[in-house]
Amino acid sequence: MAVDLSTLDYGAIARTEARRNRENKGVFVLMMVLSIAWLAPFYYLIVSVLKSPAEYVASHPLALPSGIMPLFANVTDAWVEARMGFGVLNSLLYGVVGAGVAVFIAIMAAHGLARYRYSGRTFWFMLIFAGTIFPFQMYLIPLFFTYLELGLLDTRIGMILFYTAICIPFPVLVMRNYLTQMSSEMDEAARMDGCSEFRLFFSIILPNCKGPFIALFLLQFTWIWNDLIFSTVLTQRVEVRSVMSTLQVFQGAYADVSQTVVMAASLLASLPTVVLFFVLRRHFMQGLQVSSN
Amino acid sequence: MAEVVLKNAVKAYGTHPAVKGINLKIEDKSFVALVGPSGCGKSTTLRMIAGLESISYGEISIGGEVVNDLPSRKRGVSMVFQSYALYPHMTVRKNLSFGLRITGVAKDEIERRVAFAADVLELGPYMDRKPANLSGGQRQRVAMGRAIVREPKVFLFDEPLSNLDAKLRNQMRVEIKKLHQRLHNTIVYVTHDQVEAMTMADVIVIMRDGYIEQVGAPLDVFNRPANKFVAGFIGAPQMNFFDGTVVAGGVTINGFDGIFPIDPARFNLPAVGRPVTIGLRPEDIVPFGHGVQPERPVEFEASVPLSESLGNESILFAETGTVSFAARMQQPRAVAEGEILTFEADTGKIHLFDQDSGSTLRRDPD
Ligand SMILES: Nc1ncnc2c1ncn2[C@@H]1O[C@H](COP(=O)(O)OP(=O)(O)OP(=O)(O)O)[C@@H](O)[C@H]1O
Ligand SMILES: [Mg+2]
Repeated sequence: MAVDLSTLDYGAIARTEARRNRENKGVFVLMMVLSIAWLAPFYYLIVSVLKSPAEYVASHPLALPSGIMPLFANVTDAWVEARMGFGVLNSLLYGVVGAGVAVFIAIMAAHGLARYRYSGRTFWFMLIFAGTIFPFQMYLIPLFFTYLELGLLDTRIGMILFYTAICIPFPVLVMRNYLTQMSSEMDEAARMDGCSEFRLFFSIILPNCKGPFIALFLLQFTWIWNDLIFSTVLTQRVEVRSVMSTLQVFQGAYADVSQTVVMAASLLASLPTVVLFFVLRRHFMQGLQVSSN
Repeated sequence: MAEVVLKNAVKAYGTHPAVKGINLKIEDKSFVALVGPSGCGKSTTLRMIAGLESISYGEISIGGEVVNDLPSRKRGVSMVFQSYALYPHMTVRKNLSFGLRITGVAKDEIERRVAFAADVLELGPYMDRKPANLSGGQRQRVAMGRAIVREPKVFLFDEPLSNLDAKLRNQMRVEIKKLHQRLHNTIVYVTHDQVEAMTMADVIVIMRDGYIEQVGAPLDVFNRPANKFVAGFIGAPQMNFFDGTVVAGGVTINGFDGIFPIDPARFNLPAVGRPVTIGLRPEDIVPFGHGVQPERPVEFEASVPLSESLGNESILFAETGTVSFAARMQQPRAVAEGEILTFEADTGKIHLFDQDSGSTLRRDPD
């Protein structure tokens, strides 16, 4: 029985479709409002860095700037005032080494937890997993005194150790799930092909973790980059401080800096994570889904 | 020489034995199929041979050497997995050569073997693709290629075709058979598809619940099943089983008038009046005029409430009195629901089983 297309009531069909769309429209408006609320601070940041300090004071904070030239002065001021060079380099060091080493160790741990059978493996997993459930601030005081004792306070190696350690548990959780879903027949095939357990890990497992590795690296890098509290408490010298605690020179009663310079510094500080996200975006999206055979 | 011998092989998971003391001799160059229902221990047995599961008790030897404590890479076996288990991050070429590269095989030797496998399996056009960009059948062939390049003494297959569609399965069945004819390795092939087992193997091993029920050539197992389980497992549609009783000169199906004469030279008949289980395959109960005229028929009438038409033949589900059975109709015609037909049962093809143990009552030399 073929449908006679010439006798269909197209008006009625269009009305039904329109009703469906109207429901979508409500959602759309809501999304728009949320997006604007979300974007407003960014707008403020962008217009502010484009104004000279004098223009900023004279005009409404949300008014459009008259040109873009003040940007360069603001950025230079921010960089020099806050001595951001150290901060950026330190944060890069902490972020790349901390996140990289942490995720690598996490994959090794997850490999052991997900792909070998032995008694007590749930216990070990829960022990590591416990690292994600307490608020990090809890570690602050004990860490401070321990570091003081060990002479790690205000050192780069101390910061790297801390960031690496704190960035391990969450990736272990993610990687354990990921590796549990990966076919165990692949390991068996590799063993029959002659792989030792180490070769199996480095030649077969690790290359197949590229997606989640990048995603987790990005997440942990961003966390380290944005960390303020640990960096502030555990370091003092500007040579060791991270970029976020460097920005603190602009805060407080004695700070005598225009808001436009503060905004420029914030912009500079957030640039690397944004760039990194766009560069690795594709891997990030795919990273947390398990690639199947 | 690569015969595989299992002596009292046991595999226990904790306190639960999955394979319960298997004795099996797999001849060099033979193609042996392990079949049986799900969970009967086929994969476990294969994985014990492969070295992927430890052997809890007993002994397994390959080519005369006991391999219980040898890691799988030293056993001279290759395995093709159900999921193919290809390395997703490597191209087909790398997948094939990986095992050779890490075990230090010389470069030109690797090239020779990879080229040979690619040629045999017609993988040429796909050598630089990754597994994700291959079809199921192509992945299957890569998996076989990876097994071939290692030039193993024994090939192990665990349900390699179960992820393919029916047409491709038929095609790959032929290819695997050809591969065997060309390479002459010993093959142990696990499947739960009895058609695969019947068509490909020289020897079928039927397993149930961790035990071997029967070992034999495909036709042997089909014609002379050792017990009711094997009789029911091999052959589709399944053999009809009837509760029967021994009478003078033969057996009768309970609730049915006819007597099936039995040659006492062929069967160990229990005493008259004792119960037996009677087995008749659907093709040995023929609607009159459709199919082979049996030599020694027992004729009776039955109604057909349901029939399945397959085009070249029909399966009739028939009833007479309290007895119901399936029959195969060759050169089929349409059968009306409830139509009454005359059937001929071939008494020469009858199977008799002990009602308690299920063992066959057939005398050994037939
Ligand atoms: N790792 C394991 N731990 C505990 N029991 C297991 C394990 N592997 C298999 N078994 C049990 O051993 C028995 C045999 O399993 P096996 O995988 O050999 O069955 P199979 O014949 O291959 O079945 P299928 O046709 O479903 O693949 C099953 O009862 C199964 O539950
Ligand atoms: Mg199995």
